Amino acid sequence: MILGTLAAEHVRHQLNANGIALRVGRFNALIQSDISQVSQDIMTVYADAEVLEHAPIDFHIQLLGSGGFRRVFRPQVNFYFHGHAPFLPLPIEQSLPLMEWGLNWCVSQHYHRTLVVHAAVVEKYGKALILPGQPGAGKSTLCASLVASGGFRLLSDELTLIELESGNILPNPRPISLKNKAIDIIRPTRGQLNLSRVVHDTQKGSVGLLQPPAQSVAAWNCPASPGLVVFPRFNAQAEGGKLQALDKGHALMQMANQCFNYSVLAEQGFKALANHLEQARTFSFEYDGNLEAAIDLMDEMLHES
Amino acid sequence: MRAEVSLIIEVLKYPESVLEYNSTDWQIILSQGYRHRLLGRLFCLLSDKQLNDHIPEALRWHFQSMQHLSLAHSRDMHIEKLKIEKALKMVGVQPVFLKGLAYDLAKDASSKGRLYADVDIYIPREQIPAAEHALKLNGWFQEEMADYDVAYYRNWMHEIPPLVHKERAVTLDVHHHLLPLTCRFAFSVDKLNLSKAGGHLVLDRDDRILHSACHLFMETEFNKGLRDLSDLDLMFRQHAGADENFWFSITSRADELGLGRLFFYALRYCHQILGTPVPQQILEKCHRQWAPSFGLSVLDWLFTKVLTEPVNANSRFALRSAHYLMFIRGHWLKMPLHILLYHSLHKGWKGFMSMLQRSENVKE
Repeated sequence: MILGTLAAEHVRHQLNANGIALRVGRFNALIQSDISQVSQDIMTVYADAEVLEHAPIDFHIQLLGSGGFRRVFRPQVNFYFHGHAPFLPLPIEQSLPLMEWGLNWCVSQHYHRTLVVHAAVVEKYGKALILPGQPGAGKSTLCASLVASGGFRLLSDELTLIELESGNILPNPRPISLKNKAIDIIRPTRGQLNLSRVVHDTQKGSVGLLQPPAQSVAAWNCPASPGLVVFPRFNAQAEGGKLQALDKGHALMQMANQCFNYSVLAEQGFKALANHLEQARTFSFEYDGNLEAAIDLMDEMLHES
Repeated sequence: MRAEVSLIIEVLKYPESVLEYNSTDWQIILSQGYRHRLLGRLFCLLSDKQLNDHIPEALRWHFQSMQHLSLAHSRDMHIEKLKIEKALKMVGVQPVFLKGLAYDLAKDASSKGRLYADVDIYIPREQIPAAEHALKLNGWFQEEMADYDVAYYRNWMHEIPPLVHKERAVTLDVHHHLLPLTCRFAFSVDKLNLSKAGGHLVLDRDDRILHSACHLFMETEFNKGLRDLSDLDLMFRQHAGADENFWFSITSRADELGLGRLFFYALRYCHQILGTPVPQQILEKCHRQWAPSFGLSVLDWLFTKVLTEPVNANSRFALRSAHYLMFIRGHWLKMPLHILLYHSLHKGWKGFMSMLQRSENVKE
């Protein structure tokens, strides 16, 4: 059963009472919240998430309003992970972004079965396309349009999980976090996919979350084999996009820098990364914001791989 | 709630209890393991008894990942250890490693599945200026800190303001005493016994354990209390098993250093909470000699509360009060009343001002 089929009132009540167990990406989360916005937001971006019964829970998450004078004066939201609060509270409007950052934190800090790379990753023709990038490089925008209009499957917009033995990518399909200008770029081309309310003035500027396609969510357990690793960089002058082969040593160093648990996994992590890159083609990509051209190019490249 | 609290404690006491656990129990263990930061430790204790196959497959990664993290921490700490020794060698100072790294070097059972927040070393006070100089030349720096806080460390504490390495970002606490200078239990550091472990200096067995006990039972913040109690429990079990003279030796050492009261608490609560097999006559002897003359039952209630349940903003009133009272107690033990009052007024005022500032920032 998926969340979207439940009545909104029931969801709100459950969140406030014992919580709702959902598969978020590839992990099982029990979510509790006494904030009514949260239930609306979750219904919007997690509509296709499976509701779990009697399943083992990885992350027990609570989003609770602060007590005392904060109930009335600039209300705040707190994120709890198994009962302890790893972050400072935020203004209550930022509940959904806080939940998403929190869920990323849950994985990046605790999951050491795979290498966890800070990168977007999508799949087509069974092959993964990894998009690592500094914040602002446009990886989320690119990832969102590949998924929303390019027919690519979303594996993750933020955390690329590389299996240690095989070098394959494990999907963790969760809502795509769009920031600032990206929100308006993606809004008209998103088709049927829901976009959450846009929250302004967060630490990362304005944030909106895009619902992942139902097929991507349902395929959470189908890994993808290595295909392409493309380091995107936005450059208005690069007309039609400029793709350049990148040597693998360089790609490895850059990706290692973007890993959350490279130092934890040490040699195993290095081997997984090397193994993945050995089977993939690596490029740097300057693009001018023409997303259609970019989608066609990526599609063609992956098809050849 | 009561039943839940005892589950993780049950596993620490008798790892074999997991044989009886159903999926609900494991779910509780997982949450408690995260809350107490003990998942890695549980994994090690279960592995020692070939019981880790009993962790449900779907949840096993949590335990295993934390054990992995603990191994990575230990690896990093050993690199850090070599760098520190190298830097200090320039000025002819040999540091004594304390706490986590010492457990690891001495192969204490308390190193199992432990996470390390920072490195702690001890250096005699007269060598501190030279050591600080050498460390700063080699990339360690003191993070920016208010003048008041610097003075707080320099005048009253047993350590200099923490140093951080500019490339590796690991925090280094340099101690010149094991207890705050203003503390009620202060003793002369000349009396400390050192030993070598793998070619590096650590406190010897009894002093290492007593140091750990001092820390826990003078603590102001108990969110890692159960982990620290489990450290003591594991060391007691290990060393009592290896040396039949252990209990006698450590008891007389506690007496010698004037740490009897704190040692008594360590024995009492390890025994009461984690079932540490302390011989009855030792418990009785320590009780006669060192138990406080009144208020022990209140302390029992408080310690049992704070050592078994971490606190957060949503905790019940009783638990929050217990943690708060122990916070005050910890400070009370650390400094005499006039310094404590001065310190609390200063901190209270600063806290109030920064709260005002924060709500200004939110407005903008």
